Amino acid sequence: MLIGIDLGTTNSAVAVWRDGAAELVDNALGNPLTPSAVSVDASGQSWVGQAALDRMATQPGQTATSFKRYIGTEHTTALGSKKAKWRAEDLSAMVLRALVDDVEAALGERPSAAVITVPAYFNDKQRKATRRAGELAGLEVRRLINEPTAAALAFGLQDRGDREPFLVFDLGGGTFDVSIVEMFDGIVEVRASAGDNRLGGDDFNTALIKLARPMLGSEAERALQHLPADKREALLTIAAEKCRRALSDQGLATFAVTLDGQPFSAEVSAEEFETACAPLIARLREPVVRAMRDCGVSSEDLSDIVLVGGATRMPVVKKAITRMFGRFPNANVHPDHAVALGAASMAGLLDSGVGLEEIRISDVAPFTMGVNVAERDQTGRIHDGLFSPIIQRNTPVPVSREHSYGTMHANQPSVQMGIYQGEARLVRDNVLLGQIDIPVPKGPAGIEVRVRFTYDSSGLLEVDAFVPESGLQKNLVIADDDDRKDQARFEQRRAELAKLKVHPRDEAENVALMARAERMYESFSGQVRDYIGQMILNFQAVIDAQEPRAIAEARERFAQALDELEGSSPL
Amino acid sequence: MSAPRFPWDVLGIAPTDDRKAVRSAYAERLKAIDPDQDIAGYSRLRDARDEALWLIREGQATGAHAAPSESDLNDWFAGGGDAPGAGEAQPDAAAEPVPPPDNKPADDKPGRFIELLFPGHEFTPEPLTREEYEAGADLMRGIMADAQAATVDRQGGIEDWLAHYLASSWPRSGPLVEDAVAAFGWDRDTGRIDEHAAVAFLNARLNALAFLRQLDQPDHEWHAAYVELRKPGPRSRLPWKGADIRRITDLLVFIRENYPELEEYLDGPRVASYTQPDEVENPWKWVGITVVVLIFVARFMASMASDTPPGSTPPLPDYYAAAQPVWTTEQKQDLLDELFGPGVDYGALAHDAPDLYASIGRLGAIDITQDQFRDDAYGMAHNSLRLAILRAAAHAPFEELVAIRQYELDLLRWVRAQGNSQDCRDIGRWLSYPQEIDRDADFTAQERVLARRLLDAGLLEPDETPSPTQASIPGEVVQAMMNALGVDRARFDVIAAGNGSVSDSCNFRIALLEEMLRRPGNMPPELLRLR
Repeated sequence: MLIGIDLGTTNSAVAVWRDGAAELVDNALGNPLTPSAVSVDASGQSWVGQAALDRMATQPGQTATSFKRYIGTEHTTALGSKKAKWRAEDLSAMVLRALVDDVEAALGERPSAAVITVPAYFNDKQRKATRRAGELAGLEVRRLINEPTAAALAFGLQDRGDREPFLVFDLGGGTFDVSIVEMFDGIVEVRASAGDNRLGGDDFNTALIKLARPMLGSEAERALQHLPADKREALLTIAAEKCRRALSDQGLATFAVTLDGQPFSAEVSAEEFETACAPLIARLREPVVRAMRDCGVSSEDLSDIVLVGGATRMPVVKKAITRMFGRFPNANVHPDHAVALGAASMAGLLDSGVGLEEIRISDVAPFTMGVNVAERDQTGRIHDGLFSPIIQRNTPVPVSREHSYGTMHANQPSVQMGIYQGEARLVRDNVLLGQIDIPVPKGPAGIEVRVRFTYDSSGLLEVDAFVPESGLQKNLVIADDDDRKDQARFEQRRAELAKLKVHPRDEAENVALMARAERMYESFSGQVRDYIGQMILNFQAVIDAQEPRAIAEARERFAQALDELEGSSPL
Repeated sequence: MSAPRFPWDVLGIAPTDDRKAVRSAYAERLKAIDPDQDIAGYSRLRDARDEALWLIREGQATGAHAAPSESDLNDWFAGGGDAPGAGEAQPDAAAEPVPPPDNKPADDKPGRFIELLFPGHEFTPEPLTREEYEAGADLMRGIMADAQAATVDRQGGIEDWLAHYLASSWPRSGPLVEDAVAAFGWDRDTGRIDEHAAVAFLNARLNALAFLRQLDQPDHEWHAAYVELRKPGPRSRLPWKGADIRRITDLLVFIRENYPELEEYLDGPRVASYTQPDEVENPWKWVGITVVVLIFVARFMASMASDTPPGSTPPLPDYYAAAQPVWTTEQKQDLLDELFGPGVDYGALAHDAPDLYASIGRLGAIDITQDQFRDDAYGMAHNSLRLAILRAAAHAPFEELVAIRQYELDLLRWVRAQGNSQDCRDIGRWLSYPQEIDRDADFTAQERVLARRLLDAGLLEPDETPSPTQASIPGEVVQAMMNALGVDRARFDVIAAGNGSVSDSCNFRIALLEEMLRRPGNMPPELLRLR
C-alpha cells in the first residue's frame, strides 16, 4: 500500500487513496494533524506529536520542534541521554514512523512505501535527507513531490475541469513556496516555482515575541534572564503561538507567560502586530514576482489564488495577498490538509493508477544549475568564482542544455569545474553539488570544452563534458555520496531509533493528556496550579489501578476540567 | 500567409486560433511519449506549444479580468457581505488603499518625474537644486505609494521603471537614489544572477558613496591618504611632506578596482604625480579621468539599451504607458521597411526568422511617439538584425558567407573611422553599436539589401550549427597581415591570442577580413566562418 505524507515544519499528516478519493488518516488522538515534535527523556522513552509539543514547555531540553529547518545540514540536537545526538532526518524519521503506525491501526495493513512532499525550493541535500528519513522509518520512498504541486493536485482534482494558470501560495511553519500551475486534459503543468526556505509562521512568532516581550515589564525580563536559554525560548514561543492564533479571530489578544509561578501578560493589538510583521510581509512579495516573471504570467491571467499552510489564516497575510493580486484568494481547499491529500492522490496515481484516468505531471527545475567560470574584464583582469548558469530555474523538466567554454590560459593541463546550484552571481554563495576534472590537450587559450547538463524528472542531474579537440568525453552523475559511504552508519542509526521506547498505542491518549496537564501546571500559578497538581496525582492513581473503564471515565473528566481552565481546546 | 508552419506540424493540427485545441493536441502528444527517454522530443513539443499559444496571443488583444471593484474590497474589510474566506473578516472598515483600476491619473506623476530628471528630455550631469530635490522626493513618494497599492506585478513594473530612470539619469538623480533603495529594499537583492541591471548599478553607486563617507572619518586607515590625494596640484617634492606612499597606492588600487567613479573626487594632477613620479606633469590627465567617468556612465547606458533579455528598457506598466501602448500596424510595417526594404510583412518574418520576430515583438511596448524612445527602439531593432546577420555566417552557403563578411568589414571600418576602437573590437560579442550608423543612408541601404537577401534565402532562421571557435590562418595571409599591421611575428601571435590592445584587436580583425576577401575561394572554410 502506498501512502502520501505531508512532512511539515509545524504539523504533519498522512493520507491514503481509497475508493476513488484521497482520505486523511487520524492519529491516536483522533486528529488528522500530528505536530512535528519529538521528545526523548534520559531513559530512552520517546514522545511524538501533541504530547511532545506539550513537553516543550516542561522539558525543553528533551524536546525538538521545527527541525525541518535543519534537514540536509549537519545540525544536531541532543535529546535523551546526553550522548545521543540526533540529526533532523532522524527526528523526522520518528514522526514518520508514528504516522505509519497510525495508518496500520486505522486500516489494518502496515504501509511499506510512501510519497513524501518537500518544499519546491528544497535543494538537493535537503531532498536526499528527506528520502533518508523515510528509509530510516522503514518506508520505501517511491517519490518526492513538491508541496505546491501536491496542493495543486488536491485543488485541481476536485472537479476535473480545465484550469487556467492558478497560483499556489504555501506559507507553512518554516518555508514559503509559490507555484504557478496549469491543468488541462489530464496534464498538471507547473509553470514556475519560487520560494524562501527561511520564511514561515515561526518567523511571525519571532516578530511577535520581539514586540511583546518588552511589554511584559522589567520584573518579567529579569525572571526570563534567569532561565536557561532553551526554556526561555520554549515559553516565549508557546506564548507567541497562542497569541498569534487568537489574533486571527479577534482584534486584541494576550501574550502571557508564567515565570517562577508568577503570571505576566501584555495586550497586543492586531494593528501593532501588523506593523511588526511588515518586513516579513515585504519578503512575501519577491518569490511571487519571480515566479510570475519566469513564466510570463501577470496577475490578471491568474484564475485562482490557492492558500496552503496554517500561516495563511493570519489576517495580515490574507490582506497582503488580496492587495498583491487585486482579488480574494480561493477558499475551497483546506490549507492544512491539501498537501497530504495531494500526496495521496499522487500515491494513487503511482499505484497503478487505480480509479484515476491518466494524469501527467510536468514540473520545473526550481533552481538554476551551472558551473564556475572565470572571466577577463576590459582591463584584462581575471575574475574568478563566477557562476555560469547552464539550466535556468523554472525550465520545464526533463531538460538537457549545453554550453561551450574555453580554457583561460595557454597550455592548461585540465579544466576543473565545480557544479553548483543557486541564484547568486558568485559560486561561493551557491550550493556545491559535485566536481568534474576535464583534461585538455596542450594549446593556446580558448580550447573548447562543451558541458551538457541533463536534469530528469526525478531530480537526477547528469553532467557530460566533451572536448572536441581531443575527442575526450567525461561523465558525472550527481548521486548521493552520503548513502554509499555510510551504509554502516545508516544501519547504526536505524538501530538506535529502534531502541527508543514508544508508548503503546492504547496509552496514547493518556500520555497526551498527562503532557498537557504538566504544561498547564507550569503555566498557571497559586491555587489553580495546586488544583491541577492534585488532578494529575489522582489520574496517575487511576491509571496505575489499570481498570480500563475507570481510566476512560477519569480521562474524560480530567480533559473536561483542563478544557475549562484553558478556555479553549489545545489545538 | 505561407504554407507549413513549425508549431503546427509538431502538434499535428491545422493552424488555429483556438487555445483549447492547441492544449488538447499538446496533451495528447505528451501522453504518447516518455519525456525522460526523449528529452529533445519533449523540448520540441513544449516549444511548439508555447509558440502556437504565443502566435494566437499576438493575433488578438489580451482581455484582462477586471480587478474587484472598490466596493467589494471595502465590504470585505468591513466584514460585511458574503465574501469567500469569511470568518476572518475585520470589524473595522480599514482605510485600506485600494488599487485604482486602469485609469490615467489626473496628476501625471511619472511625466513630471522624468521631466525633473531629464530637463528638456536631455541628459545632464547637473545636480538637482534644493527645490528640485524636494519636488522629486515628493513625486517619488507618491509613485512609491501607488506601487504599494498596486497588484504585485504592476508593483514590480513600477519599481523597474523607477530604477531605470534613476540609473540612466545618474549622477543627477544621486540624492533620490538612497531614498528609493531604502524604500524598496534593493540592497537586499545584491549578488544574484537575475539582479536587475539598473538596481545593481544603483547599489554599486550607493556603496561608493558610503565608502566615501567612511574615508572622511579621521580614524579610517586611508583617511590621510585620501586627504593627501585631494590636495590640488602635483605633490611636493620635499621629502618630509606627502603621506605614506604604500597607503596611497593601496587606496588608489582599491578605488580603481571597485569604485572607479570615485577617482573624480581626487585631484588629477596629484594622483598622476604619485602614479608616474618620473614623468613630466601632464594637465590632460585630469581630463582623462573625467572622460573615464563619462564613458563609464555612457557604457552602462549603452549596455542597458542593448541587453538582449527582455526588460532592458522595461515596458511601462499600463498605469504609465502612453495612450497608445502597442504599436499600430503601420508603425510595425515602417520598422520592417526600414530594416528590410518594402515588401516584407510581419507574418513572413514570424515564419522565416522567429528569433528576430520575437526580439522585435518585445519592442512593442515602447512609446515611439517620443523621438528619443523611437530612436532607441529602432536602434535595438537594428542591433537584433545585425546580430542575426552575423550569426547567419555559421551556416550560410559560400556566396552569402562572403557577402556577410564584406558587410562585417564595412561595418568595422565605419566604426573605426569614427575613432571608436573599443566598439570595433567588441562587435559580434556585445551589441553596442553607435547610433549614428543608423543615420548613414548609404550604409543602411546596403544593409537592407543584404538583410532582405538573407531573409528570402531563409538564412536568418536560427540554426543549431555552432560557429567554429578555432581556425588556422594560411601562411601568406599571416605575412600579408603582418605587413598591414606593421608588427613582427611575436607580436602578431600575442594579438591573435586576444591579448593585444583594443585598437590592435580591432585592426587585426579588419586586416584579417581584408586578406580573406581578396581570394575567399582559397581560404579554409572554418576561417571564413570564424566569429
